[in-house]
Amino acid sequence: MALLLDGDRRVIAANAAARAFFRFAPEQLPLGLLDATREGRLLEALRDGTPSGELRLTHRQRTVQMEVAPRPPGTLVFLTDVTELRRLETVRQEFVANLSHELRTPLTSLRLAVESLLADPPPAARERFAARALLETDYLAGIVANLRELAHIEAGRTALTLSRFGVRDLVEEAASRLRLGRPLELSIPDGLHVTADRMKLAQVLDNLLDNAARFSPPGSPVVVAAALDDGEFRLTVRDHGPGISPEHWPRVFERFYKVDPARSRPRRTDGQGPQGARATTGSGLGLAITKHLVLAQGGRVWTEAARDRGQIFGLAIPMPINNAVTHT
Amino acid sequence: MADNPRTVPFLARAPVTGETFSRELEQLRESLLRMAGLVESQIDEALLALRSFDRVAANRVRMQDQSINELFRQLRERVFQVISAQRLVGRDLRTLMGVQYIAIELERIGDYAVRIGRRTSTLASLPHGPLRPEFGLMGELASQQVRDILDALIEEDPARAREVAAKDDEIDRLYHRLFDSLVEDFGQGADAEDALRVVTLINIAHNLERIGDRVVNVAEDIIFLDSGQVVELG
Repeated sequence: MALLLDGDRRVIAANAAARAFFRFAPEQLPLGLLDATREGRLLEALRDGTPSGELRLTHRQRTVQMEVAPRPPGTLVFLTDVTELRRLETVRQEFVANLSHELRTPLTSLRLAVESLLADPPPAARERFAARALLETDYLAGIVANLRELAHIEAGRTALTLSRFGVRDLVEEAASRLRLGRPLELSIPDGLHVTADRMKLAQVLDNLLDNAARFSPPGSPVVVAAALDDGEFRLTVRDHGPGISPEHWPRVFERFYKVDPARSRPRRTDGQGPQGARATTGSGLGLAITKHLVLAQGGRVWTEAARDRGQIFGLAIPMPINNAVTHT
Repeated sequence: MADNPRTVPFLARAPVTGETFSRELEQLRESLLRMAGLVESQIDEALLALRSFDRVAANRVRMQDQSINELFRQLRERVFQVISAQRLVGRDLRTLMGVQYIAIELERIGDYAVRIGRRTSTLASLPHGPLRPEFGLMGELASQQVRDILDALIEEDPARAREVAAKDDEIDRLYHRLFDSLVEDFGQGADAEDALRVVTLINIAHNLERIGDRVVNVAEDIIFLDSGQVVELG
């Protein structure tokens, strides 16, 4: 986008991209720079005579690359929105770092178990080490399988199998399968039926319920609400945990993204928490898979804070589902 | 954000006592909006520093505050000069008073950002775990409030100012929730460092809450500018 400023830094002309970005109409020009853009940092950078560089636009919460060309008596300012680019760079870097981390922990444990076996321990210990090695191998295989599955769904290579089913049944089945260890509160209208991919939604629910239970204090309920609203099937799962700070919200559906690295990878061997969930849970891939399973049905996912403590994860799928749906 | 902001610039609707006065007013308005823009980025920076316990960013907040203070000083001086030189009365006087009131509030909001920066430096030097999500929620709301009030100020829109002020309740609610859980933490603290950390966190929460209150004051001042009515929105 481009802005042409006069000697008093008033915007006298702007291209369509700049007008759309800053939301002003050509008839409104000339406008003061702050009236037009509302970006204090942009004005200060121009006042300081900064020729080019990256700039955080606070009012719009975007990052732009700025180039300034003198056009006496004024200035021509070129801005390129690089927010998405920077975001993708971060995602990519962190993905590699997090994946290595996810693999390293079980690998270390596996190596220790094998080393112990090599030291020729007494039979009882040998069995324990072998069991440990097997457990870690399964865990690693689980991660690989999930990554493959995710790649498949993402590539749009999983076909939808639509059927009509009761939402309450679906949720109750998932809850009993997981043995949540937390009370389940349902707010689902009687007889609510939808036509969607039941298997995929079951997997989504496994992930969401398992997450909610994991971050809920013992005894606090997991609340599932569902409804048909505005041509969409909407379902939310709410926990009563500490919640997630909003800066993480756009990123929690990324692979291996951890809000708090200290809480990573709770293992299923301690008898705590929900049981019998698929290996996706706790691997850092559950929400990523959830997102793509919903996207595959033309829907969307989000997270938000519950009014008094706790986090809500939601999904919405347009009804009826367009079976020819393609997604990105 | 309005898609069609008013084309009449803020304050330009005041009766023009003279050519000089309208020029002065235009300059004051620019200083005021510059202050608002700087304050907005200060809060952004302070919250960024807080989220990552970043001492360098926290320090930057303090440095940048000098620009706000300088702008404020100039603006106050200008307002006084214009009032005394032009012997303003009635609506023109009210306009200048309104500008001054808003500038005072903006300067204070900048101070709260600086205080958050200072406390962040303290926090960074202590052993710390992740911040409670309420800080993120309060921070997000406070900075959104400041961004929205800047829109209301630019568009000179009292209805919008009222809307912004009404949202302050949410920040207050979060503040009380945070306060209660931090006091609980305080009871469980083991040593002087724990105590300092909790007190620092309470102080940060308090400053975020104050930003919200000052935004409400700016909303009241925008209404005063528009109608001359002194209202209580808090």
